[in-house]
Amino acid sequence: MKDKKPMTKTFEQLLENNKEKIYRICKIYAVSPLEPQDLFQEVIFAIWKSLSTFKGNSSIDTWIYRITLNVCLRSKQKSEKTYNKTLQLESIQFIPVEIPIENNQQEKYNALTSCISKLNNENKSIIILYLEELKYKEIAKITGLTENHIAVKMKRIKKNLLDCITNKI
Amino acid sequence: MWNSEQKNIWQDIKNTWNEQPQSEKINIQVLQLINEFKSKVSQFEKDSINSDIATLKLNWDKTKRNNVSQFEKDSIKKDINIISEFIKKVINKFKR
Repeated sequence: MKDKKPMTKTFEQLLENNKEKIYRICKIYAVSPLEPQDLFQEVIFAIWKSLSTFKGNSSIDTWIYRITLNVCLRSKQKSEKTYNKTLQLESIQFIPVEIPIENNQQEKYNALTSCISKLNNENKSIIILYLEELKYKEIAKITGLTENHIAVKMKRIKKNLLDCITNKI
Repeated sequence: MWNSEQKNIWQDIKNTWNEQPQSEKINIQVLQLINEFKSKVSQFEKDSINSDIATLKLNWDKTKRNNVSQFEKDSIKKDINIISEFIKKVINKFKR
C-alpha cells in the first residue's frame, strides 16, 4: 500500500473526527430535492478545496463549522436546475445501520429537528452551534455576530424552541 | 431552582442532539475521494469556462450591434486572450 502524503493524512484525520457532526448539520439544512448525503458531499468538497488556505487563525473545529454552515446556507439558494449538478462521489458511502428503536428518544429527536427547521437561518446556525457545545465566543467567531448579540438571541431562541418542543411531545 | 431545572432540560436537549440515532454509517475512502475531487475540479473549471465563453459571446453580440470601433474590437480580443490564458493556467494547476 502506498504511503499517504501528509496532506492526505491530515484530510483523512479531519474527516474521521468531524464526519458525524457535519452530517448532523446537513440533515437539518437538506431540503428536498437535495438530500443530506448530497449536502455532506458538497461540504467535504468545500473543505478539501479550502484545506490549503487554513491558516490556523481559528481552531480547526471553528473552521469546519464555518465551512459546513456556509455550504449548507448556500445550498438553500440552489434551484432544482442546479441540483442536477451536485457531486456524485463513489468514495463516500452511506451504509444503513440497524438501530434498536427507542420510541421516546426518536420522538424527542424528531421534535427537536422539526422545531430547529422552523427557525430562520441565522437562529438555526446559532442553536446548532450551541447544541454542538460551542461557547458564545466561538459561536460569535463563526457567525460574525458579537457575543452580546448571541446571548440576547439565545434567550429568545431557547424560549421559542422549548415552546415548540413542548407542544410536540 | 428554575435555573437548575432549565439547565437539566437543555442538557437533555443537547444529549438528544449529540446522541441522535445513527441510521447510517459513513464510509470514506480518502485516497479515492481525492482523485475524484481532482477530476471534478477540472470538470467544474470546464463548466466555468463554457459559462464565461457564453457570457463573452453574448456581450460580443451586443457590442457588434452597437457598431464599435476597431480599437474597441482589438481591445476586447486582447482581453479575451488574457482571460483564456488565465483559465488555462488555473486548469493546469488543478490537473497537477
